[in-house]
Formats: sequence, structure tokens, C-alpha cells
Amino acid sequence: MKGSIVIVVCFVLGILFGVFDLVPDYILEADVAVYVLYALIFAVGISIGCDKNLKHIIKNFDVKLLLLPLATIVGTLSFSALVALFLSKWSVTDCMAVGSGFAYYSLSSILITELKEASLGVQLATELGTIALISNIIRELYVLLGAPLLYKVFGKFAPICVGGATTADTTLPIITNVCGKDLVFASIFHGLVIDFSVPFMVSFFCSL
Amino acid sequence: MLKIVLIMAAGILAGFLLRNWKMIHKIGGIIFVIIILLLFVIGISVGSNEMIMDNLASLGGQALLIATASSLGSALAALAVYKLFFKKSRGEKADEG
Repeated sequence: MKGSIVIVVCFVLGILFGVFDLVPDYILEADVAVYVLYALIFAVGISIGCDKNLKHIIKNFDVKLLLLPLATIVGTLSFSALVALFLSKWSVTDCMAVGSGFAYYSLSSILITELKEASLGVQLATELGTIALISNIIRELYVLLGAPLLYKVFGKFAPICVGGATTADTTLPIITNVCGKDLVFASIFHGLVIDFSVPFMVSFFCSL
Repeated sequence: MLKIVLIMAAGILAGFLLRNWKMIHKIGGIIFVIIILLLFVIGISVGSNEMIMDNLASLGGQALLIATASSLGSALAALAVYKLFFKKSRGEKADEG
């Protein structure tokens, strides 16, 4: 819990730094986030590799865990479609296109902005792309900040399914912390499958 | 994506080779620091993105709605998979949740 608060504070600090332009441009252009992410992945790799229970975890991998990506896709798409009932501005497939970003905000927002331009026009396509960007950032934040709560209310797989495409990288350390190290490989596998499916699904719902 | 997998594999190998070195088990603290740093950097890119900050009120609400719905849907599906395929019917509370 204390950890989550520190994370929120740092996130808000980052936003303030960005809003008030306190960061030199060359840092923004250097794509620092990617290198920090690489460092994180490497560190997570080390923590898996040096784990004394590694053999045990691999041996006891449950094949049924392969159902998790399916659950994520079905749950996300059905509930995204329902949102269209409340947002008269957007169609069912518009909402599903945003939902099928699965927290992969950079790629999904760019794809939607580009692919929707033909049918919606520049203005609306940019709006939907921005919605996709914010929406999928929020989804990632839900896991980064709310994983313990998700675990408690919806069971041990919930942080993984909500994490969508991010469970092989950014949210992996949180998930292993909250759900236990025995779900490390399920989480990575889930993240990879969803990650690969994002470009296909977003393009599909944009074309309908 | 391939890069991520390779970096992860390199990390696992490094961790495995160094598993008997006591200091390596302090990696959890380092991971936490890197997560904080990552969130800070993500915050900067959100804050300096004028398209997000200028439209936060109008687009943010719709984004929040879709994010919450899709997260809720996934969480419920995760719960269903857990209850249907993983939870042993005997020896556990029957009416949980």
C-alpha cells in the first residue's frame, strides 16, 4: 500500500514536471522511458533467474493458465462494446477499437488516429485516438496502483487480465509481487499473446 | 518485442549465474526504484503532451469510462476462469464472492 502511494506521488510529480516544462527537451526526445523499461525488464529477469524456486515453478506450470489471454480478450471486448450504449458519439466498433488497445497506449492510439481518419475525418479520428491513449494509460495505471485490490476482489488472475499487453513488461514486477512468483510465466505468456494481437484487433475494429 | 524477450532472457541467465551471490537477492528493492522512475517518466510524457492535457476534461471522462469498463470485464473474466477451472470444489469456501 505504501509502495502504491509512492508510485502515485512520483507519477503526479512527473505530470507536473511535464506540464510546467521543467524537463529539457533533449531528455524528452531521447525516449528515456524505453531505456528505463529495458532496465526494469533486465532486473525482473535477474529476480526470476536467481529465484531458488525457479525449477519448481517451471515444473508446476499449469496448462490451463493458457486460458488467461482468452479471458482478457472476451472480457475486454464485451464490456467495451457495452460502453457504446452510454457514449452516443461513438459506435460499438469505435469503443471496441479503443478497448482492444489492451493498455498498449502508444501503438493503439496511433493506429486508431491513422486508420479512422478515412471514415471519421481528421478531427474525430484524433479525438478517438486521444481517448484510446488516455484510456489505455488509465488501464495500465489500474494495475500499477490497484493490483492488490484487484487481487482481493476478483481473485489471483485479475491483475494479469486487467494488465492486458503490459503483463510481460511494465506491470510484471507488480504482478509477481501481488500474485506470487508462480504466475511469472503465465503473466509473461499472457502479455506476449495480447501484445501481438493488439495491432490486428485494433485494425480489425477500425475497419468495421 | 523481440528485444524485450532477449533482455529478459539475458536477465534470467545473469540472475541464474549469480544466484549464490547474496547481494543479488536485494534486486527487489532495485526493481521498486526503477518502477518509480518509470512512472515518473511516463508522467512527464503525459504532462508534456498538450493534446492530452488540453482535452483532459472532455476526453478524459470518456476514456475513464472505457478503461473502467474494459478493466471490469477482464477482471470478471479472470474471476470466471479462476472459479471454473482452478478452484477446487471441495475443501474451500463454497459461497465466496
